[in-house]
Amino acid sequence: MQKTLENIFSTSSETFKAYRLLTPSILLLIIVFAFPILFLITYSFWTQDYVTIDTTLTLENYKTVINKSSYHILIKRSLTISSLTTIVTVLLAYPMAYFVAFVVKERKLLWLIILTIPFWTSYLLRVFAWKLILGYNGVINGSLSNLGIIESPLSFLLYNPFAVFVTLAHAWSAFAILPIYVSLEKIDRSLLEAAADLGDNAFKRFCRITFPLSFPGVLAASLIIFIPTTGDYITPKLVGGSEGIMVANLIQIMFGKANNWPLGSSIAVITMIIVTLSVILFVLISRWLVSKIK
Amino acid sequence: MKIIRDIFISILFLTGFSVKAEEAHLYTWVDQDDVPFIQYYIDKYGAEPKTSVFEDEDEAFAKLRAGYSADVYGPCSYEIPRWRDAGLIQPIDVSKLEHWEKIPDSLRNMPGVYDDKGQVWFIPHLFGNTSVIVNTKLAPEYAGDNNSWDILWDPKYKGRIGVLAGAVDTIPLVAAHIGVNAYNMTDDEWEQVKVKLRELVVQARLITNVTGELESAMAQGEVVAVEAWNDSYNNLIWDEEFTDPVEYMQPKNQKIFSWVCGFALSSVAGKEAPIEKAYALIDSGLSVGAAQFLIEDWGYAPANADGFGVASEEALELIIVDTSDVDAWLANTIFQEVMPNLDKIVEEWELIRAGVD
Repeated sequence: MQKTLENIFSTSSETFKAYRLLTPSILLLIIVFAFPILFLITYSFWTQDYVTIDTTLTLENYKTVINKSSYHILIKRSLTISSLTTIVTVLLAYPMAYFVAFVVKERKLLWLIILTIPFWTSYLLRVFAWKLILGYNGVINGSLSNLGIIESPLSFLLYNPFAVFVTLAHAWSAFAILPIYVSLEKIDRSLLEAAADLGDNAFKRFCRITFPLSFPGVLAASLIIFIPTTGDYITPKLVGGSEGIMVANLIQIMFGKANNWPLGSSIAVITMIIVTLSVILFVLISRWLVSKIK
Repeated sequence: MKIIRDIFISILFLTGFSVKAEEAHLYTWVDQDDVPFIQYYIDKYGAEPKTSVFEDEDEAFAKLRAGYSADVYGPCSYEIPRWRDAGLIQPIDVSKLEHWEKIPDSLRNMPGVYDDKGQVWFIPHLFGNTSVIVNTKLAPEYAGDNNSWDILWDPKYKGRIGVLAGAVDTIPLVAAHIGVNAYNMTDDEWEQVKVKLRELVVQARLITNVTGELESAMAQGEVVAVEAWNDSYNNLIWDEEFTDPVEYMQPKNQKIFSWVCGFALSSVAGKEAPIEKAYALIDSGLSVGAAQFLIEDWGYAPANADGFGVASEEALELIIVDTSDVDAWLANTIFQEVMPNLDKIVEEWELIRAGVD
């Protein structure tokens, strides 16, 4: 025991060096992440009546959330929208990443920069851009009526879950392209040549080599998109209308207008738990699927 | 050592800044820190007051409860009970205000100004109305004397109306439309109001707090009627590209709503800057110059009635208020107050809005 501690704290030890290097980020994580989360969890066990916070620990808020079907619908709706967004974004991103990794031979960096152009503006502006595209007198309606295809503007384009889904899918696309690109780029090309020599056709090569090897990238992309979009609130607020309102909007209301921080905290905690469980489930299922392919 | 010296100097520099800043601090709605609202203060002290702004009072309330503070706040009257109970504000000595006497009686005695002990907690600054704006070219059957809030539920205009998201605006209006007083309603009555609210959500194209969104939806013909404050009506009239006729509804057998926003004195006022400066900040908003600016540039009515005497005829015509007798006119509207059990109502309204209740 003594020996191990000495090993760790001797300045030459690798572990010590690693921790020393990590210290700033660990401290930062504790301050800006661990503390607020602890705070949130504590709040979720308190109750609020008007302007007074009752700090007696209770499960009241959790009971409220579990028993109220309105909350369940909102959480389900959020998960549905973010799952759809994840699937579609990854499906659209994969060919783009594949193209840059395998087809483009020169100036790859330029291609990557081009792919990130939508990210040169703020998130809010991208959401607003979709509002202009899908809007009543927007780009789509304007073009269709100029072409004489429609007489009056289509109103189903904006203010519904579909608009939320389209906006999110676009806003998060670069986050999907980059991790997938990196994993595709790393694939050893000689494996593909060997498979070709042994008689595998292109489709088989993709299924048995390219896709399984790029899977970590797909997984990373899916998680990077699924987790934040479940909790997105600005997109549903701007383009969602009534049917597109998601659970994060409710949480925001609880901390603002409805003035019930404890209940808001417990909805947030429950949402986090559900997202974590979905992610674990997703990772397990996809690993199993990949092992089947192999 | 050089680094330590530099840090020391920069600390001195920074603290020097905060010691120097002895000006009062106004925390108010976006744009209500425009120069005309603080000109009186600048003239008096030769320096600009500090200002910061909020998007809505819920944001302000949450921020103040989390420790933020200023000397003077700019909430609307219905917020006062909550802010008082949370210990954020203190009573105001009206004898220190130059313009207090200029405010019409009906505003000085409105709910929220005095408490039971006769102390003043709120100084009215500006007021406006909440009703419905209709495009009478698209919905001619609601023009003139036929105007009615029924249009919000008219199946003919399903998906073509807009509504304010704020519970303090929409719920009293919907309640009043079915003859319920939202400021004193039973549970049964609330259930009836909820039925109407659910119908309204299905009817509405958009439900938003951003009045600009309601105005542009009106201007584009996306909606035929919106529940709105009267400044939206002004903006539509002022919009040169929008030529359709619009009317601000004042239904025959239905009083419309009046909201009043103003000033409250922070419970920490007087600690950093002299309290006189906080009072001067309130007086700035009440000055005739500010009043004129409110009428001519914003389309709102000022609490300082002298403003009506200096503003242009053209602007006065658009502010809806009958300026010949403000007291009588206000008596014929309903002041927006705080609804008992507001937090609960807000939560249920948000769930109805999301279509899940």
